[in-house]
Amino acid sequence: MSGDILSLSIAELGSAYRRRDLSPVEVTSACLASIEQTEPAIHAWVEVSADDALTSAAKAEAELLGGADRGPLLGVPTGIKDIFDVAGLPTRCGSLSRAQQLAATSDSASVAALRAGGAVLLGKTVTQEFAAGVISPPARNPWDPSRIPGGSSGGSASALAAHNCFAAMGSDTGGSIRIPAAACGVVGFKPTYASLSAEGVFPLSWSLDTVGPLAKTVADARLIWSVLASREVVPLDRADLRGFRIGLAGPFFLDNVQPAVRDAVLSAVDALRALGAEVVETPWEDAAAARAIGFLLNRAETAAVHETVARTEPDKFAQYNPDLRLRVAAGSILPSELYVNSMRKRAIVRDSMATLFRENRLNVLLAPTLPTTALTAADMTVTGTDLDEGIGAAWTRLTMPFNTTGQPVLAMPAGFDPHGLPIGIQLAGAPGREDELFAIGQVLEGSLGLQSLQPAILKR
Amino acid sequence: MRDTTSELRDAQFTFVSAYVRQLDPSATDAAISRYLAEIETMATALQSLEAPASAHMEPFTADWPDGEDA
Repeated sequence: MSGDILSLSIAELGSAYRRRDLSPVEVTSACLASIEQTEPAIHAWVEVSADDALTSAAKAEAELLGGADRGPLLGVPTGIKDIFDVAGLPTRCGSLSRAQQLAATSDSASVAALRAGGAVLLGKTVTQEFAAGVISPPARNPWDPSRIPGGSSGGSASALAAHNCFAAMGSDTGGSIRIPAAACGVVGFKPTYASLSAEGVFPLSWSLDTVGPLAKTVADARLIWSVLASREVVPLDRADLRGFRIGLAGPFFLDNVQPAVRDAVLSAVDALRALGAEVVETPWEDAAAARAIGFLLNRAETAAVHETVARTEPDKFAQYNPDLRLRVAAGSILPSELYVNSMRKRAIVRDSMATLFRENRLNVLLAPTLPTTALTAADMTVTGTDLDEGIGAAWTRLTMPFNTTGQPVLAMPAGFDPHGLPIGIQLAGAPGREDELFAIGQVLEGSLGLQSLQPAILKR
Repeated sequence: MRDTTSELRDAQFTFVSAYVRQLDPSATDAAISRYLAEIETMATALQSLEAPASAHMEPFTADWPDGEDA
């Protein structure tokens, strides 16, 4: 029975709570049991606060029985990426250098919003060290535990795919919500830049960092976002996509991807057309420059975040992983010209995206999220893309441009490769038009019908 | 004819590797070379986007210009 409970959507869970068919304590207990079962294989959690979670669940249960209702996340078990402050828990950021970190004394803004909405916080999920990377060790991918979950919000995506929780928080600076969502076959949403507060979240790159939800379905992601953004959710009132125009991004986004990824994108195009949407090819000539701008801003700002530790606390800095040490040390002397011109040109690429939407009368732009499916942890060599790239560069290649523009992006599953590994697409929308983005994503998701597929780890 | 690109690249490597090793003595030549190659690729892509001299640095907002909404 617990397997069935854990397959429910947040909306279904909420209905069951309000009918008193299920209770938050029962569901939280099922999540804790699920974590115990899958954690030896996927290592998605840094810390699980079982007692606190059950106390919160009991409180939610009492509120429901008393007729109080704090909204769609009341009693919903939730995981929090370990760069977000959660009062009472240390924010270790996946770094040995913060192993002795004291507990945070207050919640980050996002966690405060979730807590106010009645979410049950299960604990902290694994992040790549200081959110700077796409591997998220030691977390693994529930679809194949020999493979990585992506990152940096890898623990959150892995926990959702393993049905350990119903909601999770992540952060996206170069793709860190969307990348693990694609690799793990779940949904991730990067809201419009600066539309949600990043207060209480350890920074990676201030001018790019964006917090957002991960979930099992588009509708779930929308509910979580609505609570974070204090927005009312208008029920979806359409079953087709007639009247919408979708841009198919290319060639930057469609060249140099594995054939299965390209096929999945084209299948999504077919599904969109079958739903009545008009799909038009819309090359964006500034995509490579947009990616470069995001990359360079990220490198310079990450160095600025950590350079004091590097200079004044050598023992602590020595505990950073070697890639991050190099990134910080070399980033500290990145030519200022590159940073200044990245800042100057960022507005140009943002405006060129606006022009692309206007001239083609687009509602959203469609692109693959990753050029490959999940790689094995033992051999993270990117193959099948005709490019000689490291995984960090390859896996942020298609996501980073949208961090530069700052527009909202919904990442969702679109298919599987011949190994049974998930393939993800991303839908980029216009700033402030998140409702339209979610509506298109939700209708497409229903048409693709992938939600019933589950990792083998859940069938054991 | 002098190969200034090569000379500049060598000078950059010497400077960067000396600085990096002050902070991280374990950094390898190969890792530093890969890092610099990645930065060079991105710098080239950045430079390929033309910007008028009047384009100045401004606090970034994701909002699109008036009239550009889809």
